[in-house]
Amino acid sequence: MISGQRLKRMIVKEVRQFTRDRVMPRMAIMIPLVQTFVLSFAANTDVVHVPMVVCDQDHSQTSRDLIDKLAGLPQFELKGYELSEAGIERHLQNATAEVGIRIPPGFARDITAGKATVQILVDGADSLTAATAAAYITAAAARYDVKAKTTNVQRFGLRGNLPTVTADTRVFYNPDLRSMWFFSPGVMAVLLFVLMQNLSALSIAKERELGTFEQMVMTPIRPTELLLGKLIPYAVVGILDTILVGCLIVFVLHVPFRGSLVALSVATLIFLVATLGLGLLVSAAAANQQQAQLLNFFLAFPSILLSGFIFPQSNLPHVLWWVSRFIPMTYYLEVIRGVFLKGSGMGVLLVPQIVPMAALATVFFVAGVRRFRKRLD
Amino acid sequence: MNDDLAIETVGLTKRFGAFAAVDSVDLSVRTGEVFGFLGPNGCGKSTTIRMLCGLLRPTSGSARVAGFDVVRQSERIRERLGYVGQFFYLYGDLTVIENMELYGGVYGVPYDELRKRMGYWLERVELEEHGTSRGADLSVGFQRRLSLVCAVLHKPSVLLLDEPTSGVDPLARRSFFEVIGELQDAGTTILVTTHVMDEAERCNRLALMSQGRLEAVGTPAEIKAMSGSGIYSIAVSDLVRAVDLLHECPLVEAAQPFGTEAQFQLVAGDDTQAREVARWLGARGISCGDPRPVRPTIEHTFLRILGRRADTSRGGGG
Amino acid sequence: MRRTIAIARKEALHLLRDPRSLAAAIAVPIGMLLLYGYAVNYDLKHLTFAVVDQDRTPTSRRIVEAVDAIDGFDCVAQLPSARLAEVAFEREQAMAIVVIPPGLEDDLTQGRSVSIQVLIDGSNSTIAAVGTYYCRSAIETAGFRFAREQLRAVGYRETLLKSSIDVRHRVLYNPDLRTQVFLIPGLIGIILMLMSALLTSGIVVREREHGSFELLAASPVSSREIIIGKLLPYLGLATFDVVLVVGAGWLVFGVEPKGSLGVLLLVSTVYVGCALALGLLFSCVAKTQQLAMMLAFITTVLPTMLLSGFAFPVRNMPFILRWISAVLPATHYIALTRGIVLKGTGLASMPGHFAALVAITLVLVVLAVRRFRKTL
Repeated sequence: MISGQRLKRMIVKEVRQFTRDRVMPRMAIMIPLVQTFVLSFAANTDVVHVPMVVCDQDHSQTSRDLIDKLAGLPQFELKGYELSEAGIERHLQNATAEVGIRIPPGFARDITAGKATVQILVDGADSLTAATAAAYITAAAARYDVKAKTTNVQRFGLRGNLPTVTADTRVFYNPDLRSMWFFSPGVMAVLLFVLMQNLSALSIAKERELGTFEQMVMTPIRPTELLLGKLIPYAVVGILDTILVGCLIVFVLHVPFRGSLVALSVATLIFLVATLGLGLLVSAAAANQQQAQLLNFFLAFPSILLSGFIFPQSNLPHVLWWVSRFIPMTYYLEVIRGVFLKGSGMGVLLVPQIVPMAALATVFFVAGVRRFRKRLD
Repeated sequence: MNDDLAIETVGLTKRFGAFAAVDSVDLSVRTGEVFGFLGPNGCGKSTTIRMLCGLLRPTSGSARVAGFDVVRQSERIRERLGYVGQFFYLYGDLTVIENMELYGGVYGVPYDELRKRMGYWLERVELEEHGTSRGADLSVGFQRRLSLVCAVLHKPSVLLLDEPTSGVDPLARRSFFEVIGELQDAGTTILVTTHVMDEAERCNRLALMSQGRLEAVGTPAEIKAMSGSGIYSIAVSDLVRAVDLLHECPLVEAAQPFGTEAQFQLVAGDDTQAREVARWLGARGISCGDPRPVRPTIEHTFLRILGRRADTSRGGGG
Repeated sequence: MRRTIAIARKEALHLLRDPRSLAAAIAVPIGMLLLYGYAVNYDLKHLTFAVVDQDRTPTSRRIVEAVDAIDGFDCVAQLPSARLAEVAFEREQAMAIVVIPPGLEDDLTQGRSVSIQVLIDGSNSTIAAVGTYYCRSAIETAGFRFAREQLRAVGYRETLLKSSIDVRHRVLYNPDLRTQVFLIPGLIGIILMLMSALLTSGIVVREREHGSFELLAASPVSSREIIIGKLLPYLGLATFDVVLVVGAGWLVFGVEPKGSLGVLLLVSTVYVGCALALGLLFSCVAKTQQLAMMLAFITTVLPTMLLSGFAFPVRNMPFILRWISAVLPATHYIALTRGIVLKGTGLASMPGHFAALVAITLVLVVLAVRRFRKTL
């Protein structure tokens, strides 16, 4: 029952309004580009540059040797020397260091006897770093020890070498484990979401405020036509944004793109419909622009915190995991990461990601249309 | 269902909480007539219009427009309805021509036919030179013209106008009513809301509304007749004090200044009682001339119905 | 001064009589904290791995057990061949695959070193980095233990074999190393910012409806007092929110404030004042520009989350970003809160952050007051 003529008129009107606005088109393009670029550099959970202080109470060649090895680890930055454990604690308290190593007096003597100790202090407040940092140091100390031991054993004439087991790790998709490769496509997705949801919700809220809603609603135009007329141009803007930002990510930030463009396009389109539909629902619920703005603000949080954008989905408690199944961003992120890093195609992505997202998109859009009353009350 | 009635409401009511904005209104507008809807701001005119358009849902009662029910068949109504709102509700960032194309198209006018009608109307309301001006850049008068044109491009059978000439100069007002006349000749039923009394005179029939209720319905002549008789004008020495005193006079029902003279309406009676009033004023230190009978106007009826003692002079406001 | 208090009292009564605002002011921050507090953590809770065991000996099984024994690691499948690795990763069946070569036990018993391949799904770099690390350590440690047993069996002296260095760990402030403890103060900061925005949008709306006549009636000199008077109840409400949210963090998530509650309240009040001013600034902007400001407002959510140190350590960011981070009030608030709550640090030890927060707040309040006055 959709009239092509009416739909066409609405699309023409929206396009004209959008292009004539002095601010909107520029913002719609610039914000995703600039923010994706800038924020891609922020997302970095690597354990590097961890400030470390050292307390050498032995002052032997052995202790200095060990300290060199530990402080020389690429993850750490030596910030200073202290005389006691209390000094180290002070650094940790003031956040001038996150890790401290204390080598007690008599270390060199004890190590030959086989009972030396090394004390590591870690700032547990930054537990993200602490555990890993401690692990690195422990391993480094162990390796130092093994090497010494191998020398010992060889001195005692063991045939061959002390057999060791090494783990030869091979990292798929992101061999250097660059955080940016993981986060940058996610940043693009989140920005797209925030932008699109706001554009659609505010567009309708604005018309209500200005009164143009009243006049248009008086005509025989059907809600579906009116809403599609608004959403289609915004969807086009969204696609344009995706292409531009995608190119930025691939060609400027050098994040690889290994997968299927078809899968990405289909998924992006569906994601846009879901997002715009969500904006519709918001505009149906909000009485004016300010309310719509705030509602959007609230709705941004689940998409950022529950979708796996920053915090791993595997950590979600059961209930929240189910909530995340109703967030389109959850699926879109999987598609994006699959397509950029894993070379995934439609085959792998269709059923687990694209279909549920399409279902959500349909539900949001239909609900938005149905809640959309051509009335003022 | 009465085919002669373009608009028919029965007990139409709209409540917002406990407040009844429109209270049990029974309205009948005949096909092809120009019907005026009079009342002060806030009396419920706009709310009634919005219910007729399907923009608000009635709390109770029913209404039919062009033969269709406003609640259940509102889409059929919208195809046949044109609406010109009190303010500019078209798109300020689109040009005159773009607005016309938009609304003509949305109302389903085929493109070739639309171009013809656009050409006609641009000329008729003198918007030709402003074809490429944006809606927001137009003066209020031109905005009104554009709103009107966009409401009639699809040749509606019913046209609703909400305060169409407020803020518009008298010359423009006159040409506006010429257009209305032409539309009526073409068979359109027109419902106009206004609180400008002399516009009301041009309507075929009028309804006076106050605080949500219809107080009087009839032709302008019938309405004027409802004002009762016994309205006199008298020249006085101290206008303000005279009007104040008249309010206290037991023979007088209502009084107001009018120009330089005081006007009053008798509770009952005719010239004799009027001279009594003059003497009463004289006894209180106001010297006055002879009271002259005044022809009743719609406003008199209105004031009488409202039971208010108006202070505003008719010449001042719009 | 007296007039300010009078205005504040009147505005407070208005606020208290608006049940919806009050309910929102209480329910929303708690709700958000409870909802997202459970979501934010970086703990490695559920790292799935698969095994390709081409040796199938007790030794190879011990290696697998060693990896499984790592907290959070779960062996989910046995794959017949390493070639299925790629597929397993694509289908997200496992995050890592341990490939044990044939003849492992033989080689080790005969004194030959072996290499075990660990294939890691690197697409989630956060998990992958930590996962790789633990995996490698577990395997190497298991191997070393095995080698020691062998040598012991052949009669080597214990002292030569035991590891000579005992690395003792002392974890300060968060002995269980729960990442939630670290993240929740940040979450609180973000929630408070949102609440303040919510509250101040109410001011402008109410002003437009009821209050403008007050300001117009008063003389220009005291308008500043009036504006601050109007803000005070909101400050009070937001501070109440602070107490609620910190309390909830404590009760529900075990984030116990180690430092002075008074200092925490002081810092939070300053931060909230800052956020209120920011919200006021945004909501004051004239209607014609509102759409643009909307975009600006909304798009500060992401930078705040990503640049303030909430999710990612500031020290990892490039120079320019660290400067942007320094300008965000949330950054300083989060650093201060972490210090006070987790470490019991006093303000004296964090002067830079506090000074920065106060400075930003003052600037924003001045701007907001000027803008608010103009709006009316």
